[in-house]
Amino acid sequence: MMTSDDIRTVHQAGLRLLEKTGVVFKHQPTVDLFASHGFEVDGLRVFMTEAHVEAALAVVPSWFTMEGRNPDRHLTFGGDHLVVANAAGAAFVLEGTDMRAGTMADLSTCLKLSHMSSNVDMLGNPILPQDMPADEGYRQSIHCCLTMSDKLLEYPIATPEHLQVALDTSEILYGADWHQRSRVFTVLNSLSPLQFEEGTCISALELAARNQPICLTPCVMGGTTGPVTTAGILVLQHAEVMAGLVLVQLVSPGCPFVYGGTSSISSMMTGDMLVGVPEYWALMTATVEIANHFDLPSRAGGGLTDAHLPDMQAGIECAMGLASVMRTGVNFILHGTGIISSFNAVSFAKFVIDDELVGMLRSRLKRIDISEETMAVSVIEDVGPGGNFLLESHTYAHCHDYDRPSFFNRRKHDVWLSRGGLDIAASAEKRAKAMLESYVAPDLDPLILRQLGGYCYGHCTVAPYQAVEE
Amino acid sequence: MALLDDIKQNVEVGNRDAVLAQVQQALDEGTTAQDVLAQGLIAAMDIVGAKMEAEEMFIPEVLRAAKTMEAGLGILRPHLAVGDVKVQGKVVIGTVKGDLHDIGKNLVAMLLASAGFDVVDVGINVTPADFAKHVKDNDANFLGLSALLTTTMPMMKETLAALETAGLRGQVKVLVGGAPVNQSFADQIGADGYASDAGAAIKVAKELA
Ligand code: B1M
Repeated sequence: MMTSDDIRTVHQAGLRLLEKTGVVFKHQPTVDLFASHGFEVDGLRVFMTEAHVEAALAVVPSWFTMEGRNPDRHLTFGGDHLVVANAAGAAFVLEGTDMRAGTMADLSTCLKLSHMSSNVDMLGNPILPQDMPADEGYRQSIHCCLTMSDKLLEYPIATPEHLQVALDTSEILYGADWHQRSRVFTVLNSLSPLQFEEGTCISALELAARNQPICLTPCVMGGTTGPVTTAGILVLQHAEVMAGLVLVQLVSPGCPFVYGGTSSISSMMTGDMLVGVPEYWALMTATVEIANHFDLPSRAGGGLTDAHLPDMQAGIECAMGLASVMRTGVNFILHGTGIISSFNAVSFAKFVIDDELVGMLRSRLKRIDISEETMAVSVIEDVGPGGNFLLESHTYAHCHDYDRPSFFNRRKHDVWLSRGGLDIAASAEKRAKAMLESYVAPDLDPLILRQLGGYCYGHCTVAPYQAVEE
Repeated sequence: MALLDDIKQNVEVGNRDAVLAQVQQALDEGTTAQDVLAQGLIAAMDIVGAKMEAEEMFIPEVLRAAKTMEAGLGILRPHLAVGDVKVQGKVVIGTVKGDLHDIGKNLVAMLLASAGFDVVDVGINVTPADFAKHVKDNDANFLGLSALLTTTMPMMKETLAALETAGLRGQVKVLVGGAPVNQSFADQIGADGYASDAGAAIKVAKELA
């Protein structure tokens, strides 16, 4: 745990970087904007002072609510709210030990699982399908995300074209004045160390101008794109988040913003990013603590693992990764379910195991409810020494309190064996199958559905993937 | 010879000052530059390569050793003939258009350089036409392409086409890599080599050289 002194020290170190070294924004209009507000600028490098950061911190809201098409599924970011989203951006699907290219059908499977899950609150675009041309695949993926579930979507925005799709589809869904409310939620990355790439600047400017939330998430890799030490990683990550915050608040004071981080150490043997390691858990915990300190909504951690099977390694790493941030009060978790192989692949079995894990952690995090009724002192008195509680009406009244549907084994060995003796991955596959069979697409206004179809499939050369019938 | 052994060891642990002094001392004592190179500097890098493969040395240590070897070579150079230092080849390397991921590419570039290749790193988000131009301008005989996104992998194929159009395809061996790339993709687009990591990249490049 970081002390407030630790946090202040890290903050001061970050400020020093912003003031002395500066940050490169590879987009002239962004740099011009800073210059017009009196920031010191050298080429594309912008220098920020403590006063600039303080000014941004003074106006950024500590929480905000995203509104989707189903009012029951609006989501609040900040305070003690937790929003969990599924895996995002994987290229591959892992089945058994076999790694294969992800397809539209896999994307649809993931979305169905997310829609049916009671622990996943939000969608990430889980898979970048490789069975169609990239530009068409993007629109078709977005179409699937918007129609197969009425949960809010973390729009994957990597290029100005993607940004346009986000803006256009929001207008179709919510009408011309859609930006009166928070509708488009996206994660933007800095390009560590201390850079913001052109597309990121454009997205930040355009979204902030419409007052849409931005979750700024550096992915510093210790030893390669950042210092090798965890404290150094944290300082660099903090400086980059503050730089993004200053930009967003300059464009639109009061624009919702999330303090994100997914930085970790790299293997000094191979250079690979490591996400199943204690240093990652510590960094993610610290990320949340710093966000909490500044009263900002946070994003960190996830069900991440470096394993290539939904096995015990994966289980340990995910549980540690999720528990670290959940216990610290994180507000938003992307890659909460289904991601495997260090961000590179999705596993359906792991998806439902993670789903279960998130549910268990949510229960674990509830404080033990202390009241007359729950302490049951009078019941204990009534039963007395050596008695039995099974016949008590208190027991009868509360016997379902901790009854969580679960496919984890809770039975004795012989019963477990007689039911197939399945390991967790095999049980998870059964569970996934059942979830998929019970999937029902949410209602969507037929007119909107048609408009979305026209927009997303209009220019396609490849037959549209029929996720939802018109 | 004890002094050459010392040089070898000091290259391995990246002790630059000691290597500079000892290489000079060896020359002063009458050892030929060729012997210092072969039995001191190159012998050290052979050990480093083996230790890296055996996962006994970490990347920063390998790079430090390579820099130390280069420093020693600086002293030897005036005493060596043109053919004494074998340059493995001239490599242009970059990340394809639309892609900003460069950590893997940087690693491959650094390790290729430390393995004796003359490397020109042309950065990220490089268009097929620019790759062709860099190959031409540098008279390269290797082109290394890196892509980390499935959406940018097709740019590798387009880069090969641009080389073809520019009449340069015959002059360069093309090596591809990056997390979503694999051997069958490399074969499919007609690349000359594929490597799954930086160590493999050096091996493949040496085989193609
Ligand atoms: C010439 O011959 C050769 C030979 C061998 C070669 C070679 C060339 N090039 C590489 N090799 C090989 O040797 C190297 C050394 O062993 C190896 O190189 P690697 O690059 O594989 O390994 C490096 C040493 C370490 N690995 C890495 O550097 C990549 C790590 C991950 C986590 C990653 C990072 C760090 C980043 N990212 Co990005 N990122 C991910 C990555 C997931 C992962 N675990 O791979 C991946 C690749 N990213 C992804 C995505 C989607 C994105 N990223 C983006 C941005 C970023 C950051 C800027 C935040 C950062 C890059 C920083 C930088 N300077 O490179 C966005 C795109 C930006 C763009 N236009 O390029 C964005 C679109 C948005 C996002 N954040 O999700 C996913 C790609 C999915 C897909 N379908 O392809 C991804 C798998 C993570 C995920 N699930 O979201 C080998 O592949």
